[in-house]
Amino acid sequence: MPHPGSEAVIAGLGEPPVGRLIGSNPTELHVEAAMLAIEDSGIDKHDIDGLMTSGTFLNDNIRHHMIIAEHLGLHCKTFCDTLRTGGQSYLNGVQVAKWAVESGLCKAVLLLRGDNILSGVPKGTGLKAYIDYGAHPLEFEVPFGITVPGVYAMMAQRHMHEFGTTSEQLATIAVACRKHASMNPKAFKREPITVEDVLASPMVSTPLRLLDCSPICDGGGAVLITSLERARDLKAKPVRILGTGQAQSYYHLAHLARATGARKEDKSRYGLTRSVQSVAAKEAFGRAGVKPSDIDVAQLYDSFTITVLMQFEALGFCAEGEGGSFADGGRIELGGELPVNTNGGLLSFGSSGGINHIIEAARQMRGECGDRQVPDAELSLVTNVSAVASNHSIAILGRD
Amino acid sequence: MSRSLPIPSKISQPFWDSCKAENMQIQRCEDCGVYAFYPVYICPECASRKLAWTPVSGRGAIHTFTVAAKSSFEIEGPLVVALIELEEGAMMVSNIKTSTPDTLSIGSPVRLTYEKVSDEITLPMFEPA
Repeated sequence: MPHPGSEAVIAGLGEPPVGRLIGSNPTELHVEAAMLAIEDSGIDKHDIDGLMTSGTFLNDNIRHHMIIAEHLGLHCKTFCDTLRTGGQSYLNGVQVAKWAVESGLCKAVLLLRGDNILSGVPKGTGLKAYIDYGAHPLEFEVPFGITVPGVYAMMAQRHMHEFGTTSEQLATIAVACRKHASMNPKAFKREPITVEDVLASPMVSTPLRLLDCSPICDGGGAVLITSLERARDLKAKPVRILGTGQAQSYYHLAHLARATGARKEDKSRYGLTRSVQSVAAKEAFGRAGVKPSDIDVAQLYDSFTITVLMQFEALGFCAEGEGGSFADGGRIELGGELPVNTNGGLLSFGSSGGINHIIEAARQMRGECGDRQVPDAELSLVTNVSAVASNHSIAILGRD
Repeated sequence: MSRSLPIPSKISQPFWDSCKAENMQIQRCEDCGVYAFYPVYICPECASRKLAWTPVSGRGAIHTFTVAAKSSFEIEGPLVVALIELEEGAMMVSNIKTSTPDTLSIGSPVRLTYEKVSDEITLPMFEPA
């Protein structure tokens, strides 16, 4: 445990608009997000001595963090890097920033995301750009026409086979996210939808339909992390980071499904529908000293509806195989037992990458969510997931 | 967009050569007996360096699959992307060639077939057994 006051907290949040931001560019979105977080916290920019960015989809640079540091005028950093775990980078960054602050390496760390993957990628070229980006195994999977929705569709198909999960149950997740987005003036997709609407939307890759998939969207975000001591002298209400956890497995589906390389006695714990997120969850809950039933509100990474459904199980909100019935009956809507993705999530709020989930989780702890605020919420759980549900990070946040 | 083709590497060349010869081989660990795929330098289970290219039976089962509503490249018939569990225990992503994807189900048997896609590359594919 760090000594009292040196505990790392979230002390500033910045969230530029999301949607189709015509004319925007990734650097501009990073700077805008950073400025919003600096203004939100009231920190003197000269006190920021840590910076983490996560690169860009087009025209990426291995020293992306240096480009952004120069645009922000952050002169001497004692920690500065580009995170490279895709949508999971941001919560990974929260954990690294926490270590940097609590070890005394940094006074204040800024974590940034900004990209224009909707307006910046010409229509019809997205898939090719994604293949060129090299995020998928080129030699053994791409030649067979694998796509991102296709991969998650194969997980959904397997989950349905093993546990009897239904398309209706997946749809309830999209419906809950849209309901919350309809209460969020900043959200990209705000028109309420029903389970029937999801089932009537065009098939993308069986069994996933268009409304099971998160839309591609421009946007960004910033999270400022500093010590509780320093944060109490700043403007924004500090948000505690009670526990964090991470786990990563593999990218190739065959290796994920077989749990290649795992100890023999552990192999049966993992598979396409049973990710290593359970390991990250054990770590985060253990450090926070709380259990799943204590959580008041959750922001779960939702690239697809199935991504969320599998997390209900891995995080321990329900037993293995019961993710489908957990989503039923309004349980995950505001007013339910565990409101999920109160900003609308990737499925409806938009943006990309997991930083907006962190921002919403922290706002719930600051009590600033207006109509979407979960009354008296004291514990907020947030997850980031990437790379075929193989990279996982979790944080449990609390009020100061 | 046309199908993007694999570029063999030092470690994978024997695999692609065996597909071209329509006699697919994958690596078997001579110490622990596990079949590894994709091609590797050490056995991912026991870390042995003794891996031997070994022909497979060509029998397998569907571990999971998806039918793409729109194929990302031009092919005849529906694009079925599947994760196949080979009889030997290894798994691989491939396509299932069928005109009736509605009849496929997880666990159903499939057998290996080949599709020559260029002078250099023949892709291993599967069809319902």
